[in-house]
Amino acid sequence: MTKEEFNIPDDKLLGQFFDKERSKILAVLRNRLSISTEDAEDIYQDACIALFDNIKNGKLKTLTCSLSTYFTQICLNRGYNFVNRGHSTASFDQMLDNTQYDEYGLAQLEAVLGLGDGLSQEQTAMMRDIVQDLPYPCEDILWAYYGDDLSMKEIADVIGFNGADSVKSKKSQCMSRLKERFTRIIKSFYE
Amino acid sequence: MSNIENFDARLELFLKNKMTKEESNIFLGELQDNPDLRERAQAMAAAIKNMKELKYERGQRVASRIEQVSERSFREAAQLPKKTMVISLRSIVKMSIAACFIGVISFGGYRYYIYNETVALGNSYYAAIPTELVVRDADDVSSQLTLLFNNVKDGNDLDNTILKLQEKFSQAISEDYNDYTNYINDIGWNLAIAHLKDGERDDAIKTLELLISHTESDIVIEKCKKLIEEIKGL
Repeated sequence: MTKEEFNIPDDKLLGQFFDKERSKILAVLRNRLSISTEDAEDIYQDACIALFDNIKNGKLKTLTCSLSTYFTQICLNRGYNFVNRGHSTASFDQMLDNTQYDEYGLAQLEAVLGLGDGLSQEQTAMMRDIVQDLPYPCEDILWAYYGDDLSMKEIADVIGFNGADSVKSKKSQCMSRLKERFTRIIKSFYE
Repeated sequence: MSNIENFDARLELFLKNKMTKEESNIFLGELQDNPDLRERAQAMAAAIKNMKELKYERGQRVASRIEQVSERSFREAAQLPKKTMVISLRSIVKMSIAACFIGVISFGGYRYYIYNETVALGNSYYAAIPTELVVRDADDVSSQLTLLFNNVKDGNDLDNTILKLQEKFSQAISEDYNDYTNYINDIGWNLAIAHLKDGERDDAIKTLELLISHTESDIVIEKCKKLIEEIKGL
Protein backbone atom coordinates (compact mmCIF):
# COMPACT_ATOMS: atom_id res chain seq x y z
CA MET A 1 0.00 0.00 0.00
CA THR A 2 1.20 3.46 -0.82
CA LYS A 3 1.06 6.60 1.28
CA GLU A 4 -1.63 7.92 -1.03
CA GLU A 5 -3.75 4.87 -0.31
CA PHE A 6 -3.32 5.37 3.42
CA ASN A 7 -4.20 9.03 3.16
CA ILE A 8 -7.31 8.45 1.08
CA PRO A 9 -10.23 10.75 2.01
CA ASP A 10 -13.03 9.36 4.17
CA ASP A 11 -15.62 9.25 1.40
CA LYS A 12 -13.44 6.91 -0.63
CA LEU A 13 -12.09 4.88 2.25
CA LEU A 14 -14.75 2.17 2.32
CA GLY A 15 -14.73 1.69 -1.45
CA GLN A 16 -10.97 1.23 -1.42
CA PHE A 17 -11.05 -1.10 1.60
CA PHE A 18 -13.72 -3.41 0.22
CA ASP A 19 -12.26 -3.38 -3.26
CA LYS A 20 -9.04 -4.84 -1.88
CA GLU A 21 -10.82 -7.16 0.52
CA ARG A 22 -13.04 -8.61 -2.19
CA SER A 23 -10.23 -9.82 -4.43
CA LYS A 24 -8.39 -11.18 -1.41
CA ILE A 25 -11.39 -13.00 0.03
CA LEU A 26 -12.36 -14.58 -3.29
CA ALA A 27 -8.81 -15.90 -3.67
CA VAL A 28 -8.74 -17.21 -0.11
CA LEU A 29 -12.10 -19.00 -0.35
CA ARG A 30 -11.23 -20.48 -3.73
CA ASN A 31 -7.78 -21.67 -2.69
CA ARG A 32 -8.32 -22.77 0.88
CA LEU A 33 -11.84 -24.16 0.70
CA SER A 34 -12.28 -24.90 -3.02
CA ILE A 35 -15.41 -22.76 -3.13
CA SER A 36 -16.58 -21.58 -6.55
CA THR A 37 -16.21 -17.90 -7.39
CA GLU A 38 -20.00 -17.48 -7.45
CA ASP A 39 -20.48 -19.01 -3.98
CA ALA A 40 -17.44 -17.14 -2.67
CA GLU A 41 -19.03 -13.91 -3.88
CA ASP A 42 -22.21 -14.73 -1.92
CA ILE A 43 -20.20 -15.52 1.19
CA TYR A 44 -18.24 -12.28 0.81
CA GLN A 45 -21.42 -10.22 0.48
CA ASP A 46 -23.04 -11.88 3.51
CA ALA A 47 -19.86 -11.27 5.51
CA CYS A 48 -19.87 -7.59 4.52
CA ILE A 49 -23.36 -7.22 5.96
CA ALA A 50 -22.37 -9.20 9.07
CA LEU A 51 -19.44 -6.84 9.57
CA PHE A 52 -21.67 -3.82 9.08
CA ASP A 53 -24.23 -5.19 11.58
CA ASN A 54 -21.55 -6.05 14.14
CA ILE A 55 -20.13 -2.56 14.04
CA LYS A 56 -23.52 -0.86 14.07
CA ASN A 57 -24.83 -3.06 16.87
CA GLY A 58 -21.76 -2.46 18.99
CA LYS A 59 -20.70 -6.12 18.89
CA LEU A 60 -17.30 -5.13 17.59
CA LYS A 61 -16.15 -2.70 20.24
CA THR A 62 -12.45 -3.44 20.38
CA LEU A 63 -10.30 -4.78 17.61
CA THR A 64 -7.67 -7.24 18.78
CA CYS A 65 -6.30 -7.53 15.24
CA SER A 66 -6.67 -5.51 12.07
CA LEU A 67 -10.18 -5.11 10.67
CA SER A 68 -8.99 -6.86 7.53
CA THR A 69 -7.88 -9.92 9.51
CA TYR A 70 -11.14 -9.93 11.45
CA PHE A 71 -13.14 -9.68 8.23
CA THR A 72 -11.13 -12.48 6.62
CA GLN A 73 -11.91 -14.71 9.59
CA ILE A 74 -15.61 -13.96 9.26
CA CYS A 75 -15.45 -14.98 5.60
CA LEU A 76 -13.43 -18.11 6.37
CA ASN A 77 -15.83 -19.18 9.10
CA ARG A 78 -18.76 -18.63 6.79
CA GLY A 79 -16.86 -20.56 4.15
CA TYR A 80 -16.26 -23.50 6.50
CA ASN A 81 -19.92 -23.48 7.39
CA PHE A 82 -20.85 -23.43 3.71
CA VAL A 83 -18.58 -26.39 2.97
CA ASN A 84 -19.89 -28.34 5.95
CA ARG A 85 -23.50 -27.35 5.45
CA GLY A 86 -25.78 -29.78 7.15
CA HIS A 87 -23.05 -30.94 9.49
CA SER A 88 -22.44 -27.73 11.39
CA THR A 89 -24.72 -26.68 14.19
CA ALA A 90 -22.73 -23.62 15.18
CA SER A 91 -24.51 -20.29 14.98
CA PHE A 92 -22.83 -17.38 13.30
CA ASP A 93 -22.20 -15.75 16.68
CA GLN A 94 -20.58 -18.96 17.93
CA MET A 95 -18.41 -19.05 14.85
CA LEU A 96 -17.29 -15.49 15.52
CA ASP A 97 -16.36 -16.51 19.06
CA ASN A 98 -14.27 -19.33 17.63
CA THR A 99 -12.28 -16.95 15.48
CA GLN A 100 -8.59 -17.73 15.66
CA TYR A 101 -5.85 -15.41 14.51
CA ASP A 102 -2.46 -16.65 13.35
CA GLU A 103 -0.66 -13.40 13.96
CA TYR A 104 2.98 -12.54 14.35
CA GLY A 105 3.78 -12.36 18.06
CA LEU A 106 4.65 -8.94 19.39
CA ALA A 107 7.09 -10.47 21.90
CA GLN A 108 8.89 -12.29 19.07
CA LEU A 109 9.07 -9.14 16.95
CA GLU A 110 10.47 -7.17 19.88
CA ALA A 111 12.99 -9.94 20.64
CA VAL A 112 14.41 -9.69 17.12
CA LEU A 113 14.36 -5.90 17.08
CA GLY A 114 16.27 -5.89 20.38
CA LEU A 115 19.15 -8.06 19.15
CA GLY A 116 22.67 -6.65 18.82
CA ASP A 117 22.65 -3.00 19.76
CA GLY A 118 18.92 -3.08 19.39
CA LEU A 119 16.84 -0.81 17.20
CA SER A 120 15.41 2.33 18.70
CA GLN A 121 11.74 3.13 18.28
CA GLU A 122 12.78 5.93 15.96
CA GLN A 123 14.77 3.54 13.78
CA THR A 124 11.95 1.03 13.71
CA ALA A 125 9.53 3.77 12.78
CA MET A 126 11.67 4.59 9.74
CA MET A 127 10.42 1.37 8.27
CA ARG A 128 6.96 2.91 8.30
CA ASP A 129 7.94 5.17 5.42
CA ILE A 130 9.69 2.34 3.60
CA VAL A 131 6.74 -0.07 3.68
CA GLN A 132 4.46 2.68 2.41
CA ASP A 133 6.75 3.39 -0.47
CA LEU A 134 7.59 -0.03 -1.89
CA PRO A 135 8.05 -0.42 -5.65
CA TYR A 136 5.74 -2.67 -7.69
CA PRO A 137 5.36 -5.66 -7.37
CA CYS A 138 7.08 -5.74 -3.94
CA GLU A 139 4.35 -3.52 -2.57
CA ASP A 140 1.61 -6.02 -3.50
CA ILE A 141 3.59 -9.11 -2.55
CA LEU A 142 4.95 -8.00 0.82
CA TRP A 143 1.71 -6.41 1.98
CA ALA A 144 -0.29 -9.47 0.92
CA TYR A 145 2.17 -11.86 2.55
CA TYR A 146 3.01 -10.06 5.78
CA GLY A 147 0.03 -7.74 6.03
CA ASP A 148 -2.75 -10.13 4.98
CA ASP A 149 -1.07 -13.49 5.71
CA LEU A 150 -1.91 -14.80 2.24
CA SER A 151 -0.14 -17.86 0.88
CA MET A 152 2.10 -17.63 -2.18
CA LYS A 153 -0.56 -19.30 -4.32
CA GLU A 154 -3.22 -16.88 -3.13
CA ILE A 155 -0.96 -13.91 -3.83
CA ALA A 156 -0.30 -15.28 -7.32
CA ASP A 157 -4.06 -15.52 -7.79
CA VAL A 158 -4.73 -11.99 -6.54
CA ILE A 159 -1.96 -10.14 -8.38
CA GLY A 160 -1.93 -12.32 -11.48
CA PHE A 161 1.48 -13.96 -11.11
CA ASN A 162 2.27 -17.22 -12.81
CA GLY A 163 2.22 -19.58 -9.82
CA ALA A 164 3.40 -19.67 -6.23
CA ASP A 165 7.06 -20.25 -7.06
CA SER A 166 7.28 -17.00 -9.03
CA VAL A 167 5.84 -15.09 -6.09
CA LYS A 168 8.14 -16.84 -3.64
CA SER A 169 11.23 -15.98 -5.63
CA LYS A 170 10.10 -12.39 -6.11
CA LYS A 171 9.23 -12.02 -2.44
CA SER A 172 12.72 -13.09 -1.44
CA GLN A 173 14.21 -10.48 -3.80
CA CYS A 174 11.85 -7.84 -2.40
CA MET A 175 12.92 -8.66 1.16
CA SER A 176 16.57 -8.35 0.16
CA ARG A 177 15.93 -4.92 -1.35
CA LEU A 178 13.91 -3.84 1.65
CA LYS A 179 16.70 -4.96 3.94
CA GLU A 180 19.31 -3.06 1.89
CA ARG A 181 17.23 0.09 2.00
CA PHE A 182 16.59 -0.28 5.69
CA THR A 183 20.30 -0.88 6.40
CA ARG A 184 21.24 2.22 4.41
CA ILE A 185 18.82 4.31 6.41
CA ILE A 186 19.98 2.87 9.70
CA LYS A 187 23.61 3.56 8.80
CA SER A 188 22.83 7.10 7.73
CA PHE A 189 21.19 7.50 11.13
CA TYR A 190 24.63 7.21 12.77
CA GLU A 191 26.46 9.46 10.29
CA MET B 1 14.77 -23.70 -1.43
CA SER B 2 17.71 -21.28 -1.32
CA ASN B 3 19.54 -20.58 1.93
CA ILE B 4 18.01 -17.14 2.18
CA GLU B 5 14.50 -18.48 1.52
CA ASN B 6 15.12 -21.14 4.14
CA PHE B 7 16.21 -18.45 6.58
CA ASP B 8 13.11 -16.35 5.87
CA ALA B 9 10.93 -19.42 6.49
CA ARG B 10 12.63 -20.12 9.83
CA LEU B 11 12.34 -16.46 10.81
CA GLU B 12 8.62 -16.59 10.16
CA LEU B 13 8.26 -19.70 12.30
CA PHE B 14 10.02 -17.84 15.10
CA LEU B 15 7.97 -14.66 14.69
CA LYS B 16 4.73 -16.64 14.67
CA ASN B 17 5.83 -18.39 17.86
CA LYS B 18 5.81 -21.77 16.19
CA MET B 19 9.23 -22.86 17.39
CA THR B 20 9.89 -24.72 20.62
CA LYS B 21 11.75 -22.80 23.31
CA GLU B 22 14.91 -24.69 22.48
CA GLU B 23 14.59 -23.99 18.74
CA SER B 24 13.89 -20.32 19.48
CA ASN B 25 17.03 -20.00 21.63
CA ILE B 26 19.19 -21.63 18.96
CA PHE B 27 17.72 -19.37 16.29
CA LEU B 28 18.24 -16.19 18.33
CA GLY B 29 21.82 -17.33 19.00
CA GLU B 30 22.40 -17.60 15.26
CA LEU B 31 21.12 -14.08 14.76
CA GLN B 32 23.40 -12.75 17.49
CA ASP B 33 26.40 -14.35 15.84
CA ASN B 34 25.64 -13.35 12.26
CA PRO B 35 25.22 -9.57 11.70
CA ASP B 36 24.03 -10.03 8.12
CA LEU B 37 21.25 -12.41 9.06
CA ARG B 38 20.43 -10.26 12.07
CA GLU B 39 20.01 -7.17 9.86
CA ARG B 40 17.75 -9.12 7.52
CA ALA B 41 15.70 -10.40 10.45
CA GLN B 42 15.44 -6.93 11.97
CA ALA B 43 14.42 -5.41 8.65
CA MET B 44 11.71 -8.04 8.30
CA ALA B 45 10.55 -7.64 11.91
CA ALA B 46 10.44 -3.85 11.57
CA ALA B 47 8.55 -4.16 8.28
CA ILE B 48 6.00 -6.58 9.73
CA LYS B 49 5.55 -4.50 12.88
CA ASN B 50 4.91 -1.36 10.87
CA MET B 51 2.64 -3.09 8.38
CA LYS B 52 0.56 -4.50 11.20
CA GLU B 53 0.36 -1.13 12.90
CA LEU B 54 -0.58 0.64 9.69
CA LYS B 55 -3.21 -1.97 8.89
CA TYR B 56 -4.61 -1.76 12.39
CA GLU B 57 -4.83 2.04 12.23
CA ARG B 58 -6.47 1.86 8.84
CA GLY B 59 -8.91 -0.76 10.11
CA GLN B 60 -9.87 1.52 12.99
CA ARG B 61 -10.50 4.30 10.50
CA VAL B 62 -12.63 2.02 8.31
CA ALA B 63 -14.63 0.79 11.32
CA SER B 64 -15.27 4.38 12.43
CA ARG B 65 -16.39 5.24 8.94
CA ILE B 66 -18.77 2.27 8.84
CA GLU B 67 -20.22 3.42 12.14
CA GLN B 68 -21.08 6.75 10.55
CA VAL B 69 -22.67 5.66 7.27
CA SER B 70 -26.12 4.34 6.46
CA GLU B 71 -26.59 0.80 5.19
CA ARG B 72 -27.41 2.22 1.80
CA SER B 73 -24.12 4.14 1.61
CA PHE B 74 -22.28 1.12 2.96
CA ARG B 75 -23.72 -1.13 0.27
CA GLU B 76 -22.78 1.38 -2.41
CA ALA B 77 -19.22 1.67 -1.14
CA ALA B 78 -18.81 -2.10 -0.81
CA GLN B 79 -20.51 -2.59 -4.18
CA LEU B 80 -23.14 -4.88 -2.71
CA PRO B 81 -26.57 -5.35 -4.30
CA LYS B 82 -29.08 -2.76 -3.16
CA LYS B 83 -31.22 -3.84 -0.29
CA THR B 84 -34.92 -3.91 -0.93
CA MET B 85 -36.52 -1.41 1.39
CA VAL B 86 -39.38 -3.27 2.96
CA ILE B 87 -42.35 -1.63 4.56
CA SER B 88 -45.06 -3.64 6.22
CA LEU B 89 -48.37 -2.27 5.02
CA ARG B 90 -50.75 -3.82 7.47
CA SER B 91 -53.35 -1.21 6.81
CA ILE B 92 -53.21 -1.81 3.08
CA VAL B 93 -53.46 -5.54 3.60
CA LYS B 94 -56.49 -5.02 5.85
CA MET B 95 -58.10 -2.84 3.21
CA SER B 96 -57.26 -5.43 0.62
CA ILE B 97 -58.91 -8.14 2.67
CA ALA B 98 -62.03 -5.99 2.85
CA ALA B 99 -61.84 -5.36 -0.87
CA CYS B 100 -61.39 -9.07 -1.40
CA PHE B 101 -64.63 -9.87 0.44
CA ILE B 102 -66.44 -7.34 -1.69
CA GLY B 103 -64.89 -8.93 -4.76
CA VAL B 104 -65.84 -12.44 -3.70
CA ILE B 105 -69.41 -11.39 -2.99
CA SER B 106 -69.59 -9.60 -6.33
CA PHE B 107 -68.35 -12.64 -8.15
CA GLY B 108 -70.53 -14.97 -6.12
CA GLY B 109 -73.46 -14.05 -8.28
CA TYR B 110 -71.78 -15.25 -11.44
CA ARG B 111 -72.30 -18.74 -12.68
CA TYR B 112 -69.98 -19.10 -15.58
CA TYR B 113 -68.28 -22.21 -16.72
CA ILE B 114 -65.61 -23.51 -14.37
CA TYR B 115 -62.87 -22.07 -16.52
CA ASN B 116 -64.38 -18.65 -16.47
CA GLU B 117 -65.00 -18.92 -12.77
CA THR B 118 -61.38 -19.87 -12.19
CA VAL B 119 -60.21 -16.92 -14.22
CA ALA B 120 -62.63 -14.67 -12.43
CA LEU B 121 -61.39 -15.94 -9.09
CA GLY B 122 -57.89 -15.05 -10.15
CA ASN B 123 -59.04 -11.57 -11.11
CA SER B 124 -60.90 -11.05 -7.88
CA TYR B 125 -58.07 -12.28 -5.71
CA TYR B 126 -55.35 -10.45 -7.55
CA ALA B 127 -55.62 -7.54 -5.16
CA ALA B 128 -56.19 -9.62 -2.04
CA ILE B 129 -52.52 -9.29 -1.21
CA PRO B 130 -51.54 -6.59 -3.67
CA THR B 131 -48.11 -6.60 -2.28
CA GLU B 132 -47.10 -7.17 1.27
CA LEU B 133 -43.81 -5.61 0.43
CA VAL B 134 -43.32 -2.28 -1.20
CA VAL B 135 -40.19 -1.77 -3.20
CA ARG B 136 -38.72 1.69 -2.96
CA ASP B 137 -35.41 1.22 -4.66
CA ALA B 138 -35.99 -0.15 -8.08
CA ASP B 139 -33.14 -2.55 -8.76
CA ASP B 140 -32.91 -5.22 -11.43
CA VAL B 141 -34.76 -7.81 -9.40
CA SER B 142 -37.64 -5.60 -8.38
CA SER B 143 -37.93 -4.19 -11.91
CA GLN B 144 -38.17 -7.68 -13.37
CA LEU B 145 -40.75 -8.71 -10.82
CA THR B 146 -42.80 -5.56 -11.37
CA LEU B 147 -43.03 -6.40 -15.08
CA LEU B 148 -44.12 -9.97 -14.32
CA PHE B 149 -46.65 -8.86 -11.72
CA ASN B 150 -48.10 -6.36 -14.19
CA ASN B 151 -48.46 -9.18 -16.70
CA VAL B 152 -50.37 -11.18 -14.10
CA LYS B 153 -52.53 -8.18 -13.26
CA ASP B 154 -53.38 -7.51 -16.91
CA GLY B 155 -53.46 -11.18 -17.92
CA ASN B 156 -50.76 -10.61 -20.55
CA ASP B 157 -48.31 -13.23 -21.83
CA LEU B 158 -49.38 -15.66 -19.11
CA ASP B 159 -47.48 -18.70 -20.38
CA ASN B 160 -44.10 -16.99 -20.31
CA THR B 161 -44.91 -15.10 -17.15
CA ILE B 162 -45.83 -18.34 -15.35
CA LEU B 163 -42.60 -19.99 -16.46
CA LYS B 164 -40.53 -17.10 -15.19
CA LEU B 165 -42.44 -16.82 -11.93
CA GLN B 166 -42.08 -20.56 -11.33
CA GLU B 167 -38.33 -20.25 -11.69
CA LYS B 168 -38.18 -17.29 -9.30
CA PHE B 169 -40.57 -18.92 -6.82
CA SER B 170 -38.38 -22.03 -6.61
CA GLN B 171 -35.46 -19.73 -5.79
CA ALA B 172 -37.50 -17.74 -3.28
CA ILE B 173 -38.43 -20.86 -1.31
CA SER B 174 -34.96 -22.36 -1.41
CA GLU B 175 -32.98 -22.50 1.84
CA ASP B 176 -30.25 -20.24 0.53
CA TYR B 177 -30.86 -16.56 0.97
CA ASN B 178 -30.99 -14.96 -2.46
CA ASP B 179 -32.36 -11.97 -4.38
CA TYR B 180 -35.88 -13.40 -4.32
CA THR B 181 -36.11 -14.48 -0.68
CA ASN B 182 -37.67 -11.21 0.44
CA TYR B 183 -40.27 -11.42 -2.32
CA ILE B 184 -41.51 -14.91 -1.53
CA ASN B 185 -45.06 -13.78 -0.72
CA ASP B 186 -45.41 -11.58 -3.78
CA ILE B 187 -43.97 -14.13 -6.18
CA GLY B 188 -45.94 -17.06 -4.75
CA TRP B 189 -49.19 -15.14 -4.68
CA ASN B 190 -48.79 -13.74 -8.19
CA LEU B 191 -47.87 -17.19 -9.52
CA ALA B 192 -51.00 -18.68 -7.98
CA ILE B 193 -53.14 -15.91 -9.44
CA ALA B 194 -51.45 -16.37 -12.83
CA HIS B 195 -52.37 -20.06 -12.74
CA LEU B 196 -55.93 -19.14 -11.93
CA LYS B 197 -56.08 -16.63 -14.74
CA ASP B 198 -54.71 -19.36 -16.96
CA GLY B 199 -57.52 -21.66 -15.82
CA GLU B 200 -55.15 -24.07 -14.03
CA ARG B 201 -56.78 -24.69 -10.67
CA ASP B 202 -54.58 -27.60 -9.56
CA ASP B 203 -51.39 -25.67 -10.25
CA ALA B 204 -52.75 -22.70 -8.33
CA ILE B 205 -53.52 -24.91 -5.32
CA LYS B 206 -50.07 -26.51 -5.41
CA THR B 207 -48.44 -23.07 -5.51
CA LEU B 208 -50.54 -21.81 -2.62
CA GLU B 209 -49.73 -24.90 -0.56
CA LEU B 210 -46.04 -24.34 -1.21
CA LEU B 211 -46.38 -20.72 -0.19
CA ILE B 212 -48.17 -21.74 3.02
CA SER B 213 -45.34 -24.09 3.91
CA HIS B 214 -42.62 -21.47 3.33
CA THR B 215 -44.05 -18.08 4.26
CA GLU B 216 -43.65 -16.59 7.70
CA SER B 217 -46.67 -14.33 7.36
CA ASP B 218 -49.84 -15.43 9.15
CA ILE B 219 -51.89 -13.07 7.00
CA VAL B 220 -50.59 -14.67 3.83
CA ILE B 221 -51.23 -18.18 5.18
CA GLU B 222 -54.78 -17.20 6.05
CA LYS B 223 -55.38 -15.72 2.60
CA CYS B 224 -53.87 -18.73 0.85
CA LYS B 225 -56.07 -21.15 2.79
CA LYS B 226 -59.14 -19.10 1.99
CA LEU B 227 -58.30 -19.01 -1.70
CA ILE B 228 -57.66 -22.77 -1.76
CA GLU B 229 -61.12 -23.31 -0.26
CA GLU B 230 -62.61 -21.04 -2.89
CA ILE B 231 -60.83 -22.88 -5.68
CA LYS B 232 -61.91 -26.27 -4.36
CA GLY B 233 -65.46 -24.97 -4.06
CA LEU B 234 -65.68 -24.18 -7.77
